[in-house]
Amino acid sequence: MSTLPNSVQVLIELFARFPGIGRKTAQRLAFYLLKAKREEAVALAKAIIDVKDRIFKCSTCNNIAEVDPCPICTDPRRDHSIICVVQEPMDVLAIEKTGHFRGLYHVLGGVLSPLNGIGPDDLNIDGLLQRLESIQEVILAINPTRDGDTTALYLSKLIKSRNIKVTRIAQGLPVGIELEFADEMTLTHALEGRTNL
Amino acid sequence: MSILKTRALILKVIHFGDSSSVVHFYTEKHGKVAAIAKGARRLKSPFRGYLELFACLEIIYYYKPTRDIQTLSKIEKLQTFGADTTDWQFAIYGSVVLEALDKLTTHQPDKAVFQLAVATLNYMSQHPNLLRSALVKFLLQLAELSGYRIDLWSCAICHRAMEQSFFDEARALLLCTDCSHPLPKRLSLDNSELQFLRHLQNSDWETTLPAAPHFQENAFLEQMLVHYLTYQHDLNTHLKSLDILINMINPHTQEKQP
Repeated sequence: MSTLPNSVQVLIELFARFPGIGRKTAQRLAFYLLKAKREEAVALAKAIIDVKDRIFKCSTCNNIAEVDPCPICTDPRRDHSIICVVQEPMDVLAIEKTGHFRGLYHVLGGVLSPLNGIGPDDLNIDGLLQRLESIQEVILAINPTRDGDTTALYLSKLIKSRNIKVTRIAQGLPVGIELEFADEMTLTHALEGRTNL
Repeated sequence: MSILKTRALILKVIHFGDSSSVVHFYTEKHGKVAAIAKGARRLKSPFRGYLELFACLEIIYYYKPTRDIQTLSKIEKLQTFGADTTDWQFAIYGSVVLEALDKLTTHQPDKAVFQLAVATLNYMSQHPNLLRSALVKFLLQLAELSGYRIDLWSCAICHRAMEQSFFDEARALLLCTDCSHPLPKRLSLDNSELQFLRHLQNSDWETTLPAAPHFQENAFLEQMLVHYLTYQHDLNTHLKSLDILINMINPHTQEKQP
């Protein structure tokens, strides 16, 4: 039987549901909050409620936002003729961090996965097709997994039929890796995608 | 604890924790095996890039009979199926093969079933215009290897030769016109479909398979064979990938002979 008060027990159990948080870490977090000032705990609780109440999906690109359409979709300084298609909102963040892409985004919300019963109707593909009218290029920045490859091939066929240029981000060796540790598939892709110097 | 080595096909990969994966294999020597690949999703993991669907691997794993999930030690890629394909349909048909292998087979090791799956995926890789034929042949042969060969020649009740056949869903039987007459729900197979199935049942993977006569609404042949297998194995399951196939493949698509 646990000697902890019920409210602490509940908090530990809720923290333990978070990805990457085990029971021990959940206990540490709960005890940190117990020691913290009341204002800090209230700010955390408010932030959690705000995220659930104020964040929704942009009706244009399906990215998370506080306003609809999101700031990226309405930004006049961005190139509105290029769309970068990604799997999840976190991928938008990753590409934005590079500072090398100034076009628009479209979040699919996953990839085709027949074994998991995920088909085109479960993804935001119709929304993408509706945005293609004034688009000159679609960049597919989908993870290079087998399901990702299938999704890219499927989308490319749909988009190319509308005479729009479709490209896919390069696949190959990450910065800092040594060749001897690279798997055959990655090396094959790296060789196929070699560039002129 | 012992160390086992076998050839294996990846059936599915499930993320486990922050960086590991649980991989379900159909192995040549030990049947269905689930094993954890610790740290497989880390950038410098030796498993990285190998644990993808449609790959035939040689795996080495630690086996403990008291565990449901074994521990993967080493892997080597032997073959990747459909890696060069430019057609998304390979993954859809291939997924039905993998899901059937996972859900419509027993846990007993069966080398012939493993070889059948490898041959099917290989054929699909090399003949992207005959994906349907390869899938239907796989399901027919899977039934045969499971000990439930389908009689495509004579009625299951009166044993007379059939020109046209009807599938009785309730009993998973192929019946002639007369015997199927009183059935409230019967699904028809015309002569060309029967000929197609007979040809596939008797051909081997070395020859060119016949193209499917036409693609029926709802992939009837595939559904019929999956229903037959689930009935015979007394399973209450359905293949998610088959639902996706029915949803995605254009019913008006016809296969063409190469």
